Amino acid sequence: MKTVIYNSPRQGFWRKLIFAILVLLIFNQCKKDSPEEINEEEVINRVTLRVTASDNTTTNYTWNDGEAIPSIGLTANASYAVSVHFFDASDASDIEDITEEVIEEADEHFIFYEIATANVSISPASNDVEDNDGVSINLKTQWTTADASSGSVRLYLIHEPNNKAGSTRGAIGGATDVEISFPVTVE
Amino acid sequence: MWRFFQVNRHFLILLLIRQLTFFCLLCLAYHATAQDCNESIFGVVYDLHDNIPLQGVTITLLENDRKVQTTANGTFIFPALCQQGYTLLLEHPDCSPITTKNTQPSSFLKKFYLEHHLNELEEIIITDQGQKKTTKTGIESSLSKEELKRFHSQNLGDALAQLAGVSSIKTGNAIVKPMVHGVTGSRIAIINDGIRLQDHEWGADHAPSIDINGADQVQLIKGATALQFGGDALGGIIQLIPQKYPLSDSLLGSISSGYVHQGKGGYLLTDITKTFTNGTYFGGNTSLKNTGDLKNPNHILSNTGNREQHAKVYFGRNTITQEWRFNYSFFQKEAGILAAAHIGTVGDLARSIESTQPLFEKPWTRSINNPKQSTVHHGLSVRYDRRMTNQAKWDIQYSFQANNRKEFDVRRGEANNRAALDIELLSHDMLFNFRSKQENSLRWQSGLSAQLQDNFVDPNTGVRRLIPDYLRYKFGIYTISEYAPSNNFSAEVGLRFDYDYIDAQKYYRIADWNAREYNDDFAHTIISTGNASNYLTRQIKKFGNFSASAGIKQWLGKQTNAYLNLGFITRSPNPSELFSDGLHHALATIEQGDLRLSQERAIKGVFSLAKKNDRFTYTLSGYYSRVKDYILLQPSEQGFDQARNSAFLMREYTQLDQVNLLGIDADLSISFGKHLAYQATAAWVSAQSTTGEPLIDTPPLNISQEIFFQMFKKRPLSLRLSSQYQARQTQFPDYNFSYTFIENGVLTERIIDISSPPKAFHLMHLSLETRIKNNIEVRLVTENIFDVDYRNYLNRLRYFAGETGRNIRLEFSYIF
Repeated sequence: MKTVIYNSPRQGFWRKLIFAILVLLIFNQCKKDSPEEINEEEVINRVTLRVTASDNTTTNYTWNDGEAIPSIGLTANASYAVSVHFFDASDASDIEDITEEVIEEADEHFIFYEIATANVSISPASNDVEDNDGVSINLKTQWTTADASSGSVRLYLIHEPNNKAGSTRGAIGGATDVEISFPVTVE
Repeated sequence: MWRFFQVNRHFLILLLIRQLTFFCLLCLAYHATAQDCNESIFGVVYDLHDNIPLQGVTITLLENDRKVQTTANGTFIFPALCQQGYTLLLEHPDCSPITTKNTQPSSFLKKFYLEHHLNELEEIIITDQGQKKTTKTGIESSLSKEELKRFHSQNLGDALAQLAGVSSIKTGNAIVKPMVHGVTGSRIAIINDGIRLQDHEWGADHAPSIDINGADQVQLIKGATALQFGGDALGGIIQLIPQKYPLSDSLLGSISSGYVHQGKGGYLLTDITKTFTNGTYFGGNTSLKNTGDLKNPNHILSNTGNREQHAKVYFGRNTITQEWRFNYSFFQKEAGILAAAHIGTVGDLARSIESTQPLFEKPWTRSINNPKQSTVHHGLSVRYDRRMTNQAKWDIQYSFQANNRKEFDVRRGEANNRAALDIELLSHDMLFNFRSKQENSLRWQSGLSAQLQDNFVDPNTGVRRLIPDYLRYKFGIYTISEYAPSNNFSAEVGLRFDYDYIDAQKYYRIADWNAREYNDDFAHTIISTGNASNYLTRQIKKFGNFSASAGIKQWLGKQTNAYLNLGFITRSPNPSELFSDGLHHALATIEQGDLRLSQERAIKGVFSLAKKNDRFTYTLSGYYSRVKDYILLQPSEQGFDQARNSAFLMREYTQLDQVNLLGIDADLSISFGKHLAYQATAAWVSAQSTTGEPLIDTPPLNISQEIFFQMFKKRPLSLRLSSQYQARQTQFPDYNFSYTFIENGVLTERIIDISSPPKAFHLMHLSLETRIKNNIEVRLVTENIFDVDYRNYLNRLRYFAGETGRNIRLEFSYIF
């Protein structure tokens, strides 16, 4: 004799439940490997201002991420050649110079300075890097001081600026990669 | 002799069970002895659609014109038949008659299925779809396929925002997350085809990978009632339900194509299903969308283009007593992030907020550049449903989801083509549900669920992982009982327990590790030291979550029901809350998780009144919930990441001792006959911690109204004029910070107001719809008719640009 029809689904159900448990047991076997450590790239965590006086003496002012920003001392009524350098110093044994990438992509980059209360004026140096439109990107600048004063110079590294001719940070647009305010004393 | 005995034994059992009269037994005895023919045909007749036994079916034995009628249990018997083939004619006033040929008498129960007349069947399927409730005592609302048609070019979040109590939290225009009763993310569950979607829990700018065009109905269950889907959904449950197909030989389908004036975009949707009378069906749908930059009335929203591709195939067989279904879906989306929102530092954020124009605007383009998001979702599921003769049902379902999310930032050189974030989340789910109906008044439902998740983050991004690699296991068990002694009263009680186990391996920056004093509690989790500045740690988190719900529904007369629901919810922190560690460029914010987070425990009560008749329908609900240890992303004490020279705002996941949410939702519709109707929805919510501080991103009061008008008898033209009002949010926390500008050579410090919500706004929309040649639908929709320039508090990119202006959409659909 055949079995009564409506008992059969129950057997199907147990079969399926056992299958389900088996599937889960199989999944349980997977073990995860340790994640690979990520080598963080393009982090700008060191900025150096190389300030060369007219007598060719050079002073480096270096800011490291997480440390205090150094104060820049300048002489009154003098002129300085200043170049800026960006680094990724995440790995002390392999410091990466990001300035080169900025030069390579001069079209997409611009360095902008804002000066507060200090008697310093900044203009592009004649040997500055220019983009394809012939616009100096302010990697190398000429700083001219007037009377003794103190204040700060704020440096921006701008990525993809809208308008390099802008006279304020807002007018230039783009995203800021680096923004540091160096205290400046003119004596 | 043995055979004779067997037959008779079966008879006896059946006759007793089926409550046939003693008279028949006598007849049987008479026939069995008077004739040589002692065989019989006995069976039960079911309604093919819902598997309920059919009473009053007339069965005619055509060979000798004997007639019987089925009993209340749907059973019938023709005793004293000879061993030969008989022809049976089954007739019922509501059903198509069927004739069975060559039916042999036997000792087994035969099952017969009668199908309702085709048009009635369609009707049943349609009303069933429209009114089928998931919970007995919960407040539910839904969007039908017809209503979803109006959102062909939009997102799930946009469509859901039509329902009272749902808002959308946006990151730009293409990334829209639904918010229910003021909460979002892990606090609401999105169920697609029975399976919970897993990919929208990574953070606020991670929208669900779902295409509304694949759904037949979108259902919203407010509050914490539907425990079968999870015990952690404080806000509610959003369910996308696939279509049920009639058991007929037909080909159903449609092709829609539309032009969208905003973004000069277009879309193409197809949908086809072949069904057979034997219940087999197969089909699929696809959608393609492509738009370029959107426009605000005053500026171009650069880099807001969007591309979406979606495809779904399914096949299955529904024989009423059992159904199996296979489903595969694919979803791909590439969405540009507003270029003006790509900022580098807090200073940029300050300048954006002070500017009325976006700081980045380029000529209109269709192309999508960095920053952008690219998501791919694969979903595969197999489901088997079985109805048993004793009115019990069970189903089992396995599903696999693969979710990949890539985020591209504006980067230098080679890296620009590499994703800055690349997460792959694989989820396996196994679900089992059993439903039974003890008597007419008592039902219960129970189930088990198991889930395995594997999250992998590609290390080749060159950027710290926002979320670490982890394995997560979840096991759940639930039971729900319903008691409905009459149509006037029903009650429901549910219990659920979930076990959540997370095994993550994460690198911590040693400086961060020490700053958070993790060494005090988690020193044992350190596995090794990475390249001198990182610890590799293994974090194992175990949570047992208990949830419960209870609800009653009472008929008050005058077509009105009252509903009361109470829920107790436990939600364990998700990996993004525990482990987040990374920079969010759009808001210049560093988000950090907290290993010390514990579970969130909430109670929620929802009281509702609902009236429904042909002319007037309303639902009014009020809710209150009290959440202990509420997890939220808050600015850290300093407000800035000191270690990074104040360039970024710092946000940490923290827990508030207690948060109270209080709100009201209302919807109302009045129908003045077939051609004129009015509809309105309103929602208000207040969310505060016990210290009186409001929560961020709480939806402000919003009111939507719509007038529907249909003219021309011969070729009806439907007109829908709607108004959408969103008030200004007056309750908001103060997350402002100060920033020092250099202006005209002087340092000027100003407070940057990132907290104040934008002004209220009012938008009008108009839609016209008609049919040409019976099977072509034409739709002309104008959104934001008056080209209002506004900003929305619930758009996280509101600091950078306004919302989109007027949008006109023209769509043609061919239905077959």
